[in-house]
Amino acid sequence: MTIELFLNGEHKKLTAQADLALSQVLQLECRGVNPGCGKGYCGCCTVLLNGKLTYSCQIPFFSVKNQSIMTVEGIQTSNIFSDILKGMKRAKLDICDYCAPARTLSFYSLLKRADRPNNQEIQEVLSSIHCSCTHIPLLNQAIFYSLEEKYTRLHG
Amino acid sequence: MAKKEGINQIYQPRNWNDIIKIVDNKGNAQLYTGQWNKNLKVQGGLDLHSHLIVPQGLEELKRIGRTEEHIEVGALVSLEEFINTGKKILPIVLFDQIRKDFPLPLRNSLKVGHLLKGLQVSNPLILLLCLLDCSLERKTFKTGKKKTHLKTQWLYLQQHLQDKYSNGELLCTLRVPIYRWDHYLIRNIQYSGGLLTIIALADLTRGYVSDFRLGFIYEELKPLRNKEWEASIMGRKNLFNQKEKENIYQYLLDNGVPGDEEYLKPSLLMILDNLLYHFQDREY
Repeated sequence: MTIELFLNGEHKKLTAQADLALSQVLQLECRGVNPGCGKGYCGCCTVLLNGKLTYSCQIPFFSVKNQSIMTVEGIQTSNIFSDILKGMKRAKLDICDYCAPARTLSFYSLLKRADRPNNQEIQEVLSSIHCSCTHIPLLNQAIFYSLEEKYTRLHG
Repeated sequence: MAKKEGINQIYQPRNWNDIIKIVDNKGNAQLYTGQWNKNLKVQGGLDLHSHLIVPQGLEELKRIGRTEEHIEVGALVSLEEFINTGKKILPIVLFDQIRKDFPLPLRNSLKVGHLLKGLQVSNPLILLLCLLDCSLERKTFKTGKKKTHLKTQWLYLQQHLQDKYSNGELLCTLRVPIYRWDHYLIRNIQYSGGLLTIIALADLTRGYVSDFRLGFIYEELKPLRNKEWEASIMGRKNLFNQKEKENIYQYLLDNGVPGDEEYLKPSLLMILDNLLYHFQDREY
C-alpha cells in the first residue's frame, strides 16, 4: 500500500506492505532508525511520531497515514540538537553507534518539552532505551549540561 | 506449503453503520484497536487475517469523559493521555502500575484497547482493574434474519473475563471508578509451583479499615477474589486472624493454585500478617 506522510518535515509517499512495522519501512529511508529487537524492548527504533517519543517497531505502517514522523536526521539543523552535542561533549559522553540516534532523539524530546524537567521525567526518558553502553549517571550529567546549554542560548 | 496470509484490505470506517456493513460483507474482518506486536495482533490475539477494520474515525473511541463517580476512557485513547488526564483523580496504584509496566514510548503508542484485550490474564494490571471494580462497554455484532445489528452491554471486567471471547465484538469504553485508594501493596511470591501475585488495596480512617480489596493472580488462572473476606474486614483494626489466613491459603488451593507448605504458605501468611503495618507506614 502507498501512504502519504511527513518524514522529517518533508511530504513523502511511501510504498510498503501494510502489515509491516514502521521501523522496517523507515530503516530503508533513514539511517537513524535501527530495527532493533522489533519487540519494543530495546528502544533503538525510537522516533518522534507527532512530536511524541514512540517505538516505531510497535506502530503498524498503515496507521501513520498523514502523520508527522521525525528521526534523528530531521533534528540535525535545530538549535536543541547543537545544545545536546555540546552537553554530551562536556559530560565526555561516548555512546555506542547502536543507541546513539535513539538516545539523541530522546534527549531532544525532553529538552523540547520542558525547560526544567523533574527527576522523574528525566528517568523516564533515560529508561526508555535499554542499552548498557553508558552509565546512567553520565547520561544524567549529559542531560543537565544540555539543559544548561539551552538555558545559556536562550537567556544569555 | 500453506500460503502466507496478509492483510488484503484495510477499512477505516467513520461510524458504526459502516462497520456493520463491512462485517456483513467481509465475515472474517477483524477490528483493530491500538495494539501491535511483531505479528499483527488485533483484539482477541489473532495473528493473521485478511481484512482489517481500523476504527480510527470513530470519535466515540477517542473520548475521555467524566461523571461524578467514574472516568470513562475510549479504547483508542493512548495510555499516556489516559494517565495524564486522570492523574489527580485516578487511583494512585493504577497510575503507578501503568507507568511501571510500560515505558514512555510504549505508553504513547499503546491504546486503552490494549489494556482490555492485549494483556494476558496473568498480568497484575488485569487483577488491579478487577479489584478497582472497573467496568467496560462491549459491543457485539448480532446477525439476525435480515441484517446485522449492534448489541451494547456494560459489564464488570471480572464478569467479562469469565466469558469466552467471541469474534465479532469490540471493547469500546473502560469505566474506572473515581476513588483514590490511599494504600496499596503488590507482592509476588515466586516458588516451585510458579508465580503468585497478591494485590491489596485499603483505605484507613483513624487506624480502622474503611474499605479493603484483596486479590490473587496465578499464571493462567483467572483473577481470584473473594468479596466476603473484604466485607468482613471493613471496620476492623486488625486485618486477619490465624484462622482466616489459613482459610485464604485453603481458598487458593481449592481454586487451582499448587500448594507448597514449605515456602508458599509461610510467605503468604507473613505478607497477610504485615499488610496493616505496611499500610500504616506508607501515607500517600
